[in-house]
Amino acid sequence: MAGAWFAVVMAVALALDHPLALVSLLVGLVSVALLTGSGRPLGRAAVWTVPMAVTVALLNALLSRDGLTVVARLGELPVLGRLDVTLEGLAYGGVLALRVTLVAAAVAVFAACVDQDSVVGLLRRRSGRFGIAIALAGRMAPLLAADAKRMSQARRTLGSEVAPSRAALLSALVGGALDRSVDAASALELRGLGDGPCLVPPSRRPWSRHDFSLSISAAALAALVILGSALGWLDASWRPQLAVTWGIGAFVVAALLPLVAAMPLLDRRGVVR
Amino acid sequence: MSALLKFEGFSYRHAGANAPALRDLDLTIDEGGFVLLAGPSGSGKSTLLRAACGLAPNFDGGTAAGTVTVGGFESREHGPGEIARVCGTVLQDPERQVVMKTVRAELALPLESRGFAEPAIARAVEETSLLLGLADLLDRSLSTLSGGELQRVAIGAALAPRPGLLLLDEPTSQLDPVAADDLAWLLRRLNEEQGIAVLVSEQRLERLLPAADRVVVLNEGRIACDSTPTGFLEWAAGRAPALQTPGGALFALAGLPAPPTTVKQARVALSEKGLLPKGEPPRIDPPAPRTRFVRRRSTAAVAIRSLWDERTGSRALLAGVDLSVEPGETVALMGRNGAGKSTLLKHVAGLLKPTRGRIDCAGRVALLMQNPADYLIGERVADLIPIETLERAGIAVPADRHPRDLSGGERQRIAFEMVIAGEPAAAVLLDEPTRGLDRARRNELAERVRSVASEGAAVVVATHDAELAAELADRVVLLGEGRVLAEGSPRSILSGGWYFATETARILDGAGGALLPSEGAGLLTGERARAGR
Repeated sequence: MAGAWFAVVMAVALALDHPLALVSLLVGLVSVALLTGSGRPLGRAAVWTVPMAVTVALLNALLSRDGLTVVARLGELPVLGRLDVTLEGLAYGGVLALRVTLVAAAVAVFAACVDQDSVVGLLRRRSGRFGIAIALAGRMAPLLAADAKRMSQARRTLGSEVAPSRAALLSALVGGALDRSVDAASALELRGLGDGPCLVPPSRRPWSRHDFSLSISAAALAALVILGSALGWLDASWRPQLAVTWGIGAFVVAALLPLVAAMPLLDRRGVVR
Repeated sequence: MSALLKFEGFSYRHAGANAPALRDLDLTIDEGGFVLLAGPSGSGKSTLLRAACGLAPNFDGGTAAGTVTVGGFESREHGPGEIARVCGTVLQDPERQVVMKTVRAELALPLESRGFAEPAIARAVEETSLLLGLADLLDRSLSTLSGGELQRVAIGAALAPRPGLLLLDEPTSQLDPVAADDLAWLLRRLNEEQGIAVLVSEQRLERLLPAADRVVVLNEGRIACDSTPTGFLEWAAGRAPALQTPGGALFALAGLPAPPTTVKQARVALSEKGLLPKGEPPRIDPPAPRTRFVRRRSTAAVAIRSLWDERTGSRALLAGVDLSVEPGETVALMGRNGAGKSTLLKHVAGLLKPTRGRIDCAGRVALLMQNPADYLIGERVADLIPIETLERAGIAVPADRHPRDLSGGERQRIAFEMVIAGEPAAAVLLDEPTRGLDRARRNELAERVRSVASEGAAVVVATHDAELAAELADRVVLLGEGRVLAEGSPRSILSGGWYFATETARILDGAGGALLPSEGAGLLTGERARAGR
């Protein structure tokens, strides 16, 4: 159920345009990360997510041509032509950056606190080989990162006479990935893959109270956004001029989003303190 | 007893290879047998195991002749997946054969793949975890397990479908002595209490010889010896000294009959003959008092002073290590996995930054890390290092060979030559350099290390191999919990322990500080002379 909850959060992040709602959803997600003890992985993800989000915002501000409120004229550039930075371009860049941050944060928290094997199991009930491929890809990433770190350290210990170039290092890493894939494939053969129906039989595990609260939270998140949009509380348009609704409804939705997101974690029974 | 595994006139040649890896092999493994597969590197042990589980040629390619039948499945007609129903296989590196994220999912995978119902899977996972002592680890992520735990999980995944035969390819080669001993006991228990037949290849034969009821030796793809453990040791004494166990070599050198397969057997035999030497092992000297606030001119090639490596959220990896190594001196760093050996070497080589403390080196530091493949980055051997350098070091390898096609021993030696190439190193650091090597390759590497030390380099070898430490080191440093627990001469450290002791020392109970079979044999010869007198 946790996988579905994160899917809803990402869908909501992509569907929302209102900056206040996006910020409040981010607050909710950070609260979830802290309550699940995933603050550290989220921090690590922020190291590359924030620069990426800033880049997205800047690129949008520079390349967007649809705004009317010019805040800076940067002159003519050979390929890009006239470069005017508009308030609308800046603001929409900020919204895009928020979306990128939200999706990356959701993925980071998901990877840190959701049992990926159960998600793979879910996929394998639909498509056995696809599920296995996902599982392998998930395992390969940290292994290849460790390979890269070791090879890079080995390179640093060699004298300049025999140290390989960075290109050779990259080529070896790709070769190593292929070796690891072949090893994994032989291990899967030995685990009997291909010697049965491949599709995993359906699970009859009963829903826990966490499954119930997560499903209620996911449904409430979706309902809030749909309701807010239907009632016009979350209206926001960016072109040609900024038009963002700042009514009481937007603030109500913004206040409720973090609460609803963190709701499944407010029940602390069974949590070791 | 009926045959579980039968090779009949089986030959196999790897794709693109000039010579066959297995030649006209006839071998039968019966139900409940425990067969130890021995032989030098490249003799065909891994290929035999891959053929037994159906990977060769079905998965690996290559050409085969003759037949392999496993539990009624003929490998030409049935693939590895089907054969895995009757035969579990565990390959060399456990990290490379686990697929899922948690132990529970890994154990369940083989049963899920075969479409077992959920209750049957849950029961099998429960039973397998209890059998292998994995119950407390079921929900742990595989990435957090130690090498020994990971190896047990790989065995569990192989055993989950309840096969009658278990194949293992050098299962202890990646483990420290404690984990390797645990694994040896586990295999013995599976064989004796569950009746699972075991076919296992191994370099350190003394680990599994006590459990085996048969030893098969391969040489150049052919069976060179097929005998009981004692029969094998007698054969090895005359025909293949490199395959002897230290206990076997001790008896052979002392001219004693019936080489022992266990330390207990050796001690009983020596005791019955009145040859068990008496005497205390040398004591470990107390550490010298630390001299503070005194600056001395150091002649050390490497001087480590109060080195700390503290990481947020974990205990200190190094906790105030003091160590100095003089030029030409060889120091063996020993200790269990996680004791801080590799971390210390990386600090000395400048790959890590200490939290506190200081390291002074008299010149360049060369480090050979655990996996030699990390150094062999190129398409041909000649791209890695000038061939003349290898020839000068006595390594004969075709210049055009791809590094991936080198044997384990060749990789290790070429990587070693690469790290010491160029400007002479003041210190040469080696991290588990003999891991996975057979005795002959290990001896070659040890000889080369000796020559580097004799040229004036300080050598530090992190190793679990007590015999190697006894052969090479002038001093042994025992690390634990990131600090130096004890240091002294090899005799004082390695003769009075259980794990950090050579087999010869354990047989002779540390008497006379004898560590190697040759030293022990000298002691026994003296005892015989006294008894004769």
